[in-house]
Amino acid sequence: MLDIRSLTKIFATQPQKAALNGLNLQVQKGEFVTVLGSNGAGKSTLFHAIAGEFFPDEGQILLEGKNITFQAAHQRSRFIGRVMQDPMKGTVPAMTVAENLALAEHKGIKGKKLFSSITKSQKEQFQEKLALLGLGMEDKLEQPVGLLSGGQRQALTLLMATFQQPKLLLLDEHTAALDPATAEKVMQLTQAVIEQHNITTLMITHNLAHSLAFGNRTILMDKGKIVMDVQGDQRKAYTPQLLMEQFHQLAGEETTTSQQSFALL
Amino acid sequence: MISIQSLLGAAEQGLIYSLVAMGLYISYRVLEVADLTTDGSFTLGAACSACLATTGNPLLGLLMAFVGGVLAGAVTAFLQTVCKIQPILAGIITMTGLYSINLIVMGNRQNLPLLKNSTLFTMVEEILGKQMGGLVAAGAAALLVAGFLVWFLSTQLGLMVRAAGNNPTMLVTCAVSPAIGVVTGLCLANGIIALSGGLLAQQQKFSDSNLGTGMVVVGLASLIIGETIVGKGKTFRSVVGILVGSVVYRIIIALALRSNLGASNLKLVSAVIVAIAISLPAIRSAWEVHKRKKEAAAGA
Repeated sequence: MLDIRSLTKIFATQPQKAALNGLNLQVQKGEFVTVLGSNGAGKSTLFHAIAGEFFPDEGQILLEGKNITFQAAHQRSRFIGRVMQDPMKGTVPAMTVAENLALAEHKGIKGKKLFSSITKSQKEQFQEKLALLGLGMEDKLEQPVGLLSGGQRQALTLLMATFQQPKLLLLDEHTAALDPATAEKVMQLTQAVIEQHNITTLMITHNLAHSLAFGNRTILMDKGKIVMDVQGDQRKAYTPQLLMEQFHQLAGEETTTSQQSFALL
Repeated sequence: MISIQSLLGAAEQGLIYSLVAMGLYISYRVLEVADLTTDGSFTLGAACSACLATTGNPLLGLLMAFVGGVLAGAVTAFLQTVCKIQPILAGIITMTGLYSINLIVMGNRQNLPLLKNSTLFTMVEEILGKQMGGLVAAGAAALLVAGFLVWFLSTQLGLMVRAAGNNPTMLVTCAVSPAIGVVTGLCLANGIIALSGGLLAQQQKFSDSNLGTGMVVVGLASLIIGETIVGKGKTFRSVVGILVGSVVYRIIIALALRSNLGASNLKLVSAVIVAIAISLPAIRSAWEVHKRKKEAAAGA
């Protein structure tokens, strides 16, 4: 489904270090992969490459057999959904909830009626979808998104990213900026939407427990490569403690111990 | 202090110039770029409209003014999105080039008088009389564009323009290139600004190659005065603010003309108004901090 072959990227600002170093990754349809790694391991860089924010120096990215290595970012968005860490990035703060949803309802330009305003039936449909989130946003259709809380904005972004079922969903620490209770709620919503539509998903997390509790495959990245890849029965045997030990062993000295220990708590 | 006659005159001019502020609302407020194409596209509109009015086609002249402005906006948008030139510089480049083009449109003359030619304003004045004709024509044009703007910014294409200015990343995730929003916004903004120039040329019965100098500042002054009086908010409220602000700005100018400031100092007055109005939030917060510092010192 997703096939990444020897992907390499060296940024001009850090010429001595490859951000992605001949990375290979094959993801099957319906897989939910959690991605671990210390800061600077290349997790977000991998996501940016898949989303098309930059083009790699070497290697290929194939999605359902189609080579998308040099396809523009906005064109890939037709089949790749994204939720980023920063709640400010996924929505337009100056526009209302309904207006944000209207832009996300149909991906691309062709599906949109360029010269029509939001209709009543569209609003009713938005309200139904928002009610399912259980965050009280169904009454805030006409409010600017800038007035929503971070959790509400992330839930809204998740809804927008999956409005039209994407082939691939990229979640880049999308609950990291939220308070624990809200993060838990957004994670539940994420789990529900992925299971309901059986969406192939990659999720970056710093939370070791989450990396095992969610999804059906876990990979660990270090220095622009995948250094550990567990799934199935092998993964079921893992505990956060065991994962932590492996993490130290494989990700070397660069791991910030305090941060990882914190994630265990 | 000020006669009804000059108040009506100020209102008429204000309504014509309100189109500049509406164009700048799209580029400065919605797209969040200071588009200096404005000075050039305003003059281009005046030149197109005056040129066709001399051949007896004033209404076609207004249409061509709008089309010319759209093309000018397209050039700036191209420089910004494809050539990746900084927005301010892209506007300056187009504006500079337009200076020559405007002279060509006016037949290589610095100015083009329309003293005996029929214009939109003389046509309406024939029906409604000299007193109200001009005001009605200007008001109708302003309301028409205002209504169009409110409607347009609520459509899907309008939403794309707004998203392109406020959060282009989100537009990319919706599979739309932000360039589409920038191109659409700049074309429309400059089309409306050029229409304003076209109307002004027909109202004052002449076009001049320096007509647009400082128009960005004039438009922003009206925009900001409007926001101060009516407040910010949804598009509708902003557009009402622009109409009010433009008329108030012209009244201020009329007053300045009657005082001993003199016409030659008007641009300085506009520049000062804009500089103060735009720096107001910074001044306000500095004042707040100063006050709280004082209180803290007094409490300690």
